[in-house]
Amino acid sequence: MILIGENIHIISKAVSEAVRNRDIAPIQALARAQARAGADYLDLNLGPARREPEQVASWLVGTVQEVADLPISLDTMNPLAMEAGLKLCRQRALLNSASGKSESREYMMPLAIKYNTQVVISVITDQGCPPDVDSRVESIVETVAYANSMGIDTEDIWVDPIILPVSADQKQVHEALEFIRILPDLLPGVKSVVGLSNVSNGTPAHLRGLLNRTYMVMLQRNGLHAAIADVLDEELVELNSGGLNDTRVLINRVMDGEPVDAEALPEKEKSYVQTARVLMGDALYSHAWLET
Amino acid sequence: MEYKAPLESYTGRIREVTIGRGGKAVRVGGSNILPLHHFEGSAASRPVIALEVDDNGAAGWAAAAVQPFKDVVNDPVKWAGRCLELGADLVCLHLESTDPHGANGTAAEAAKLVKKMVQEMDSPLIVYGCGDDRKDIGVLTAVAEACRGENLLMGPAVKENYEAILRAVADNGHCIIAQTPIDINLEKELNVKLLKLLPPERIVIDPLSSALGYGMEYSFTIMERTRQVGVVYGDTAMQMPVIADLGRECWKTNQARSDGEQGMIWESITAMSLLLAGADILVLRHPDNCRLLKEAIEGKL
Repeated sequence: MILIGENIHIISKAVSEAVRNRDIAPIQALARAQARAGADYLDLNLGPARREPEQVASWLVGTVQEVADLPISLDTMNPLAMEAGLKLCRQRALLNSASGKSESREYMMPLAIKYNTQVVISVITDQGCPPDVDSRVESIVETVAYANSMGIDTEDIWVDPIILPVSADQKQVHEALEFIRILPDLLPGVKSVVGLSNVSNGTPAHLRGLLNRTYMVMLQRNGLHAAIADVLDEELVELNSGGLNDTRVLINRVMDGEPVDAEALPEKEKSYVQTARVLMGDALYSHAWLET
Repeated sequence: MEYKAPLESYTGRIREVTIGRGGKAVRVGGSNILPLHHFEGSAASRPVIALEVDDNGAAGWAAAAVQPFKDVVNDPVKWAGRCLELGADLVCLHLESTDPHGANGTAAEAAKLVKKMVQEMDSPLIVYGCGDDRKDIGVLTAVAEACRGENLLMGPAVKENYEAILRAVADNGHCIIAQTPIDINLEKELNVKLLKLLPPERIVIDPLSSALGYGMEYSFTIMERTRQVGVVYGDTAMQMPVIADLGRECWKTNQARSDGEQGMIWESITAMSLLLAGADILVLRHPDNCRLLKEAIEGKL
């Protein structure tokens, strides 16, 4: 599975300060670290980029490309910033993201054609984020058909089901798993991508990695193509590259509804099993899910 | 062909919590069914009704709710006795006098009052602190110690203060009210923490009750889900009875304040709804509504 490094993110205080002061050192350190850790792409998240969108985007892309020889996932909802950044990308970029919203169809999708990028397309529409698998399917089929009609190839489309925090909406976490599983049947040739860490938003910081890693293994098994994730989490990278087989087998067994005696397992394996049960919706989530 | 009603059977059972001691104890919970689904299984105890007593002389109460008690509002012991005469299964004392933003009474005074009530009353007692999480630590600890062994149901223990209150309740032989702000995940988290020191038979869940028109549907949903998770999915951290402390919420609405009859309707509709959602203890203010809800619970309506 392709890993897109998430750590150059405008919500991070260090990143937003560095961007504001045009301070290249912290940005390049993060780019190098993620490349070294095994990222396949680097996500550059500019958020809405309200101030100096074009200058910020081109500075950030240039700064990162000086030290990292990786394709860029340019992550902003501002079309001006998007275009300025895409212009400078040396490798084929990932436009992150477009959606079924009318303004996205009008301003973002044409950029994917103009700069020959791959493009993330989320299930969001003018009505917001669809609440269940069926409405996600309905929305994405329609949006992908529209993108195709504009000339975007299905093979260049990375569908994003929008991952919600398990602490906010446990049911949707399980539904996204199902969505990823059925996606190839719905839209043959299309790729998929998730913002993985969103699943653990709102969860106490020291427990976030465990949720992210467990969910990644589950999504990967259901055929996920790529994840925007914390590649500085060594265990996550190891799991992604096929390591920790025993852990992955345990998670798979929980997914299949097989009985697993969690109490008999070592602490770490037990916590993966408990986490998989929560993500499958078998056990009600609480911040204390490991303490039961 | 003969019609056969489709019946479900469930894997989980709500724990039975005993409040008070000896002959005057009241038991709540114990069912392995969804609320009032008596045709599908057994409910060890019916839902019970508590009437509310305020140790601050009913300050701020709507006139219609004070009416049945107006000669005893300054004597909580007598007020409690009146509640029982008028049909309450038990009494729920709110220690409003301890509110630091109000009368700011001391923990010692509160403990003295509760002890007197327990000694003189012929019913188990539910005790709520004023809801200020810091003040409640001192007040509820003093109450727990003064009434050691009386098996009060007391709280609220909330995320911010549960450790201290849990210790006082556990050490002195009482049951605890676990209160969370209309959030099923936080509710479970608090239960998990409390279960480290108390058995589930000594915990009652208060998911917060909102009045009709003021968010009652949120309370309904949480209570309904709590019961489903406990009974249908067998989640052992969610198998405690639920208390709906709703009278005070209903009587503070504009509708109840402007018109006593509306207040009656507000309280009865909210109570009936939360009863259907799965509440095991309903705390009301007006004795007429107590009678009405008891008739509903006994299937006479």
